[in-house]
Amino acid sequence: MTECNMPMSTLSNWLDRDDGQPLGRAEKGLAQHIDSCPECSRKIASLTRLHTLALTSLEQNISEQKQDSSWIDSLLNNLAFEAKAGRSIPLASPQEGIRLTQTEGAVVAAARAVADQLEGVIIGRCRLEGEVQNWGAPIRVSLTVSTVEGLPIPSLIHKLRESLAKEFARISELNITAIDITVQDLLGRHQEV
Amino acid sequence: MTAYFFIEPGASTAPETGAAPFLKDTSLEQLRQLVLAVPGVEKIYPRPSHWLRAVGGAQGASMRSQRLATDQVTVAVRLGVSSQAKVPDVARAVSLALANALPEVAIELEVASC
Repeated sequence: MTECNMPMSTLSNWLDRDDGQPLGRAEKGLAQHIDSCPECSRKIASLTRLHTLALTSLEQNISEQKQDSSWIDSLLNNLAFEAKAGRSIPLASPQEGIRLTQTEGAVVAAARAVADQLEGVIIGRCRLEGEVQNWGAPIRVSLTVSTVEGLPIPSLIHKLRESLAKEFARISELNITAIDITVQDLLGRHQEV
Repeated sequence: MTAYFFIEPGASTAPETGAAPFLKDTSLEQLRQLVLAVPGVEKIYPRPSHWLRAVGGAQGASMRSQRLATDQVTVAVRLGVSSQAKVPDVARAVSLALANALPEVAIELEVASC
C-alpha cells in the first residue's frame, strides 16, 4: 500500500506554529490534509508526545542532553515507521460480498496510545510479528519500553501487558499468542513525563 | 472489470442519484449519512491515492457508461472508529447497513484509525 509522503519535518513545523495567528492558505490546506489522512493524524499524535518528551529532556544539564538525544531520535524513527498504514489485516465478514480490513498502522497506534497512558513507562518500539494478513495466523506483539528508576518494573510490565491485551481485544481479531515486552532503558526521575 | 465507488467525506449539496445506476433511489450523501449514523463511527476518510491510480481509469470508463453490470460494482469506504468502540463490531455494522441499502453490490471497508 502506498503511504502518505508528508515529511515529519512539515508536521513538526505545523505543531510548532503560533496558534494565535490565523491560518494562511497553505496552512489551511495542510490542516485539511491532516484531518483527512489517518497516517498524518497518527504522526501528529506521536510528534505531540515526542515534543513533550523533548521539552522535558531540555530541562536537564547539557551533558545529559547529549547522552539522551539518541533515545529521542530512536523514538522518532519508530514513530515515523509506525504511523504508516502498513499491512492490511482482515476482519471477519458478516456475509458474502463484504470484505472488511483494518490497517496495521491503526492497530499499532491504538495499542501505543493505551500504553502511553501508563505512568512511568515510555514506549519505544511496537511491532506486530507474524503474518497479520492471514486470518488466524499467530501474532506476537513486540514492545520495547523505558521505565523510570525506582518504580517496580514487574508490576509496571504486568499492568502494561494487561492494558494491551484488553486493547487488542477491543480493536482487532488478531490471534495474539504473546506480548513480549523488553525494558531497554531506565530513566532518571527528571526524565519522567 | 470491477468498478469502485468510494463513499467520501464531506457533504454534498445536491443528491447524486444520477451518479451511478446501481444507486437507484439512494444518493451518495445518503450513504455517507448512513455510515456516519452507525454508533462508533468517528469519520470517513478520503480514498487513498493508490486507489486513484489503480482504479481511476476503470472507474472513469464505468462512470461514462450508463450500462453498468451491478455484479461488477464495489462500494468502498475508509473509516475512523471511536477509541471507545469495539472495532470489528462497528466495521460489521457499517458493512451490513451498506449491504442492506445496496443489496446488489459488493462492499469493501477499511478501518484506518481506531
